[in-house]
Amino acid sequence: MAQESSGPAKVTVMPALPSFRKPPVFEVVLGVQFNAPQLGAVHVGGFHRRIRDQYPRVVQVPPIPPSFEVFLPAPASGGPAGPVGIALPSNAAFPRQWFISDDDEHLVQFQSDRLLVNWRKGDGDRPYPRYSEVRHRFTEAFEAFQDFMREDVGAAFVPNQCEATYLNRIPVEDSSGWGRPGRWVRLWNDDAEETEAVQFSVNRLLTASDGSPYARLTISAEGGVTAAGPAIMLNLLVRGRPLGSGPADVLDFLDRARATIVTQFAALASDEASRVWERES
Amino acid sequence: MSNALNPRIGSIRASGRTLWSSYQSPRPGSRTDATSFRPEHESPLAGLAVPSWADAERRLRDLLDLSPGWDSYGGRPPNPELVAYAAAQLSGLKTLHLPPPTIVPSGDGQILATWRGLGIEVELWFEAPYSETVVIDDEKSPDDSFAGADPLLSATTRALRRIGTGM
Repeated sequence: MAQESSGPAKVTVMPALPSFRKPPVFEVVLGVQFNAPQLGAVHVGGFHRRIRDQYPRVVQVPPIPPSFEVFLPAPASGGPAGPVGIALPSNAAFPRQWFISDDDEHLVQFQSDRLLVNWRKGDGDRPYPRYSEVRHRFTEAFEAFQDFMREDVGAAFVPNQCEATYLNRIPVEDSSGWGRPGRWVRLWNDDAEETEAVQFSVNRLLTASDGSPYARLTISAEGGVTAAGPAIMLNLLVRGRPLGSGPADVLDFLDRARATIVTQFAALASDEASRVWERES
Repeated sequence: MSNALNPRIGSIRASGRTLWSSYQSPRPGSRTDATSFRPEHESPLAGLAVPSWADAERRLRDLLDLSPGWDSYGGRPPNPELVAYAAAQLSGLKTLHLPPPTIVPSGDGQILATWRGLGIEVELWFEAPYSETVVIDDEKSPDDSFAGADPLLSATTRALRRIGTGM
């Protein structure tokens, strides 16, 4: 599959990526974090006006604290890590806004330092519209946001983090427990005993052409119970710094992140899962 | 710390950069610079700074409350994203069991994290997300002194391990 990034002078040819007709994905999020301009309540309406036709409904939720992926040398001793985290408060003076499409399928999240676009499967049998559609939605909102920054705020757009997340919900057959999740995902071998619970996380660094890390892939799996029964929540997240400061660099990051996620997901899918999810390439 | 070993300090002096070690309770008219700055919790007996990670975390949070002119010399507060980035980097150092720094803002909106001990001084300047400079002055081992960009904090962590372990 060849895919073009936006921008007239920059064309990125992506290698063929694995594809599934019926992937278990139930939510996809593409987002960018940027240097926060001085925004007030009036700006919320200013941005919403630009996308209101597609996202007429508004919900206010608490803001997400700013976060950065950082890359430090591994502990020399290989010993356990110390206490994690220096938690900072988010900008409570400027809440996060959800601008929601009428059919509830698409969502734009906006706060003083973030823009996120979600596709959501919801509770029904809504088919995944593919990355191209989610990317198109992100690009539209992103362009509206850049216009808003330029015309309404008069501030430069400076991205500092990008992220792409795929959330998958894999139903498991055994309602009395987790059965054999290894039937679906190659993360573990449960041929011998039944799995009692599922919860783990793996991080991998993504490196630029000069070998320096620029992003981190996090794969996490956790058992849960949905309205349809027990399921494994398999989430793949890539977050890091864009390799440039322009809008095209944001989209380039998201394309790379998506390629990493899709490739990793296909590598995790068991043979049986690939049949059920109808892998086509 | 000599200027010959530490060109960064020389440039700071030349530019009149202001630092303030007690920004939590602004003292109108007070002013320190890199020449006279000493961490707030310095031990008079050992000559070593003894801050804690809790202090560092509190000071980072307090940076978010600084207003323009916080130092009474038109000082620019650090941007929230720079505070968040510094917090992420320092969280990483914390997970490596490295000693905690003393945190001070500079008048031009940067954030300085400093460590001192066993004849080693480390100044880590957060200038912008993914842009930081470190100045390491090691009296006992001048070859380990360093001044420059340290994007993965490799030089910083090596120096902090020497401070932390006494080796």
